Amino acid sequence: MLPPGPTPSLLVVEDSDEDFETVEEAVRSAGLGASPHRLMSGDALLQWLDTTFVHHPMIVLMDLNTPGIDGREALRELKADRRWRSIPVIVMSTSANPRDVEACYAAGANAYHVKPLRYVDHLTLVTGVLKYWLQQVVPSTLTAATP
Amino acid sequence: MAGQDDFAQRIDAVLATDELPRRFAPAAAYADVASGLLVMPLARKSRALIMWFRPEFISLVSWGGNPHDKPTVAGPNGPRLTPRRSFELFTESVRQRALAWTPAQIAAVSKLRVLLMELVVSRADQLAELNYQLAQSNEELDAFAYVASHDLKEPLRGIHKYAHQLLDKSDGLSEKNRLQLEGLLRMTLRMDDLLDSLLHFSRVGRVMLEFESVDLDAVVAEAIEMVDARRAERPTEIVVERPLPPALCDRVRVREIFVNLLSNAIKYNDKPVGRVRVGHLDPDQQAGFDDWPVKPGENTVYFVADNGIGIQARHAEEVFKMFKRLNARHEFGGGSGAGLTIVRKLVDRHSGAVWFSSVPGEGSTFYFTLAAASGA
Repeated sequence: MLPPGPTPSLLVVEDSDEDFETVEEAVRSAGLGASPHRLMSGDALLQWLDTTFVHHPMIVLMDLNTPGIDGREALRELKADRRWRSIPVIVMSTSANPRDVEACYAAGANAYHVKPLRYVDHLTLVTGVLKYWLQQVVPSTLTAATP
Repeated sequence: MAGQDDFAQRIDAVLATDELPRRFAPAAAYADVASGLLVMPLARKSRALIMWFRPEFISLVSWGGNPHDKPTVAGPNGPRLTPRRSFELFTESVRQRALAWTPAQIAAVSKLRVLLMELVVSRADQLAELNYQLAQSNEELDAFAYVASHDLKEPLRGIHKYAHQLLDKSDGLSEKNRLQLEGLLRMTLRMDDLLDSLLHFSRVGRVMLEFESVDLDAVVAEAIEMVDARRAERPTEIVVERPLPPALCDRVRVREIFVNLLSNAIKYNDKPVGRVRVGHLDPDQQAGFDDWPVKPGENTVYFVADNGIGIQARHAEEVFKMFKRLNARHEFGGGSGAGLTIVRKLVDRHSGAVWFSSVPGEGSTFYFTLAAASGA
């Protein structure tokens, strides 16, 4: 059993409307109770963390190909910052390129998934990932330094 | 001849001699046509030379006495030198010599050499520049294919999703509309397959190969395991004729070559039981294969032979083309039509060759070469 505590909040870095919708559908259909907060780019993520983020727990679902600095760079900066590095980051990418996979893990990604083309497969994947990270993983409860 | 090679290798500047047999003993055999030699080396590495020959010119030389006579007389303690006693002229014909090259001739050849060298250097510069441009444009092309296929996949996923949801949620859909939406779904999946192949192909062109001595028997065993699922659909016997020699290659890529060739051998088969042979021909077993695009007897040739549908000769070039399919899409399990293109790219990157021979209706044999592992 998980220790009692708030459900981690869910941050989604995704510039594709369709893919963000799929995340919302997964949250709804699995009754996860989280309300995904959407950011459109890696820049927006770093800015949000810098100005709005107060404390854990939360997880970040991140697409790699976002406008501005791309997901890889945002991931590197997030994991290099001691205030944020214990936040789990789950990469969701169209790219199955081993170089992307390797770069993300090296930067500290907690998981890497390739988005499938088929809607049903995609929905199943996102649902499974969210159930796991939001319901089964013991979240980090560290309180971040006040911004 | 080794002697000639050595001789040629020692020449690094214009060399002129009017007595070649004295500087290069084997030349005595053809002294009548080549007693004089003027050589201009073109490139040291390739030992390319331009040579002018002069025939033997037998001249009479007059000596003040026979130079071959030892001016000695027998004394009580052995031979002893004495002054010549005769002052008669001794005339001798000097053989194996040519007319001497004139300084003007030698200077002209030296000048020619300088001019040629300048030309060679400027051609080499041009080639290096062209090579650089070619590499650059290849790289751009690969990067383009890579980026394009990624950026194309994202909207494709959206199209698939909406088609799926329309099909799922609309009750009042006419039969015709339903079929159209299903067609739309199929096309997005096919497009996804094509993009995957394009991505894979561009990656195959760019990825660094890791060359090592590879146990090809183990590689083929893995490849056979990887095509196992296909064999369940279509019963196929696969035989490895005899142990394969190791090769100097990238293990993962060569396994992919075998997987692709085996998949095709299994897939394009209409016989009740497919039969596939994997084997090799050592250089000394290649006599008679004169229709090969490579010279028989130079490399080990690996092959995958099947008893499948075969390929008509007029399709010989087509089979290696990207996305080119020779059969209707629904026949023989479909596929993106990139397999052999990728095989050819992989073999190319191993500096090898790939080709096939086939009898339509009876089967095909795909051959390819790899460098042999050193010490094998």
